[in-house]
Amino acid sequence: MSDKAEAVSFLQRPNEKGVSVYSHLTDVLATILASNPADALGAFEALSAKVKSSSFDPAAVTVPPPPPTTAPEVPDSGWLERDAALLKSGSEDEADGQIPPSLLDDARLLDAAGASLSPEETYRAHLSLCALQRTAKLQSVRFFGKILGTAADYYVAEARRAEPPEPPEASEPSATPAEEYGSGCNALSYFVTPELGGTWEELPSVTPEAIVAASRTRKFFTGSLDADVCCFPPFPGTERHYLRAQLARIAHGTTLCPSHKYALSPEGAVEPADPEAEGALPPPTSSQLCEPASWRHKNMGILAIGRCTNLPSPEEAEADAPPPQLEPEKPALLPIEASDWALVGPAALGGGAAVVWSRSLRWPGAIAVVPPSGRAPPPRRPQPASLLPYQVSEAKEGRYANLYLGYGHPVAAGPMSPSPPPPIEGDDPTAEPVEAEDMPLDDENAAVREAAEAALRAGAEE
Amino acid sequence: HLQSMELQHHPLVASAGVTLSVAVRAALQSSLPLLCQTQRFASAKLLGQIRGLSADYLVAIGEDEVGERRYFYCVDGVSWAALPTASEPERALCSRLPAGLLFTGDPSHSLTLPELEDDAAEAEPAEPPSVSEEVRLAVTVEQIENECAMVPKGALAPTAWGGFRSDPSFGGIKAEAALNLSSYVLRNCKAPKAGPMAFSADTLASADSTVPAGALCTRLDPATGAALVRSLLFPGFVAYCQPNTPVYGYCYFGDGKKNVDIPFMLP
Repeated sequence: MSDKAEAVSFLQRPNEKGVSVYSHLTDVLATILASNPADALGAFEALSAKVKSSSFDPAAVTVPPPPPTTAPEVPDSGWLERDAALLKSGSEDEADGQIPPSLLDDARLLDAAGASLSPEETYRAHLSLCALQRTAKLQSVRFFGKILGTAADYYVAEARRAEPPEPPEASEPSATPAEEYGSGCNALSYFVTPELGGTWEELPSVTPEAIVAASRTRKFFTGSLDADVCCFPPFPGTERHYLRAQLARIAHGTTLCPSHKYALSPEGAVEPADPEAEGALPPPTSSQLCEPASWRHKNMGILAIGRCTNLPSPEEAEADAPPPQLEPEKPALLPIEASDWALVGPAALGGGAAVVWSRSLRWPGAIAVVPPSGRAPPPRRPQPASLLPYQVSEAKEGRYANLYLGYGHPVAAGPMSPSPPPPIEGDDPTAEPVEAEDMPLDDENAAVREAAEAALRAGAEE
Repeated sequence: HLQSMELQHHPLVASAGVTLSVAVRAALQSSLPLLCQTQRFASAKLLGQIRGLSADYLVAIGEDEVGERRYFYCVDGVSWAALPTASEPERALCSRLPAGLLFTGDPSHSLTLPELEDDAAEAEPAEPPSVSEEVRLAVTVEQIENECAMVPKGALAPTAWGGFRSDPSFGGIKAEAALNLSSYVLRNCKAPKAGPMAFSADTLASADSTVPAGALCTRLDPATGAALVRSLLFPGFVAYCQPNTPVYGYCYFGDGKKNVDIPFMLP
């Protein structure tokens, strides 16, 4: 009896899944009786395998992982409140002597060229610029564009101040002094903000070494001005200096204007051109605007040393020294290079909506838009302004728009190869190793003899 | 249904620098449905715009009920031409082109490649291989679709023909999950460890498997409430989705060039 009880208990011992031989055999027999196969013995093994595989295995059940969650970043109430405050602020007038931003008019030109933000964002940017002009007391302000970054974007405003700001305390003098505020690369101020409802922050003046370093490196902007720029050779400054240097390079390389709008005064300053003067160009037609000769750079070009103007040569120059090789300066209002710009004037769009735009090939994202003057010649009888199509009056006013929407980098000539580290320093080749003279043998012997006699005397006294 | 951009979703991506002029938007309102009608598509949507020197190419994808996709391009937004399917030798030729070359804007423009050096040993120098701009455009569009095209997880359901279509019961992903890259899948990439259950949409590669890590940036646009995923590997690519709604898609507006300097440029 105990053998049978032992045998039954052995057969009923469950494995790790809870199935025992006894229960499995019970299930197989029940399946055979329920399904009534024709050849039960022949199908016995197959039935047994089938019953085995259909048993519940808790380990094989995989619960899918819960959906990923991050900290909820729904539009925080802070943004909504700041936006409401911004939209309410638009009802104040600007002070005397201040030119209001022309973003809403420029947006119509830019939208026709396919290069503007959404209408709501454009309107917010306009209100934000007006608020900036009031608080910072700027003479004029222009929406420069948007620099895209990895964590946040920068909205950029280019402004002209009535009085220059206080210069920062002098840091250690660098090799090339920076240009004074109001001239060259520092002619205009730049303000950035990651959010149109937030506060604008003014970027510091740009130094030549920052421009030179920025032209050697290529990093994405992160969206926080105090972030480090990790590159080799090390960048002198944080992201705000890198951003300011890139903005200077973009502004001086890609701000265009139509040829008839400005002229150089005898002192070299850029002034609105007088349409009645001799040699004044008429507003260009759309076919003329598709030629590079109708466009001009509005700002001076930046030289390789990182400034717009060369340094004045030192007064105490040696008589025999040759004059230093200076790169020729690039004054304002130079015509554009045809290879750097793609000029597009869509012929399919009918009159009244046509603009001609010039897209930079060196700085992807920079665009300049000019409305042409329509079919030449203009009508002789003066017509009421309401009958004139948009672009005739706009072209006569010399209206044009520039915008930059991009990541802030130029097109590289080839794949980037970072500069290698400096070579390992070797020994100084001028210092020859000098062999020290050995002590002469007699002196050495004398020293040994003295030491031995002193030891003998010390041993004898004890 | 396809997941590239619907025209009315254009304001959602405008903050990423993606822009279409009003003339093009008006033209697409009529030309895309017309394309659907003439080609018997179930839907035709805009993939984006590839910039060229003298003209920009608009690219659209048309999909029929079976799930077959065909690509079209045009310059003015009105008259579409079919984009050829690139063959393997043509893809190899395009990979040999100099990296900085822009599209010219003329579809019939032909680029001649320099000969390989081992060909110089032959007695008769063969004709230097050339590739037309149309073929180059097709290869670029295919590259963007294969490497970037992404949709939220759960938005796709497998079809009986082995492909995927948009799931009509997709209700949207939560706002917290919309900023996490593992909530998105690459539409045309199979995950490397796809098991024998090939019909599940989980076999698509997750977006956080993109190399290098950090090549995709997520952002929540507070004005529209949309979550945007921008690619730094193909600057100009944006995938968008509106949390808790079935609104999603992707588009590409750029040069068509891959950013090979990205390992140096990431912060």
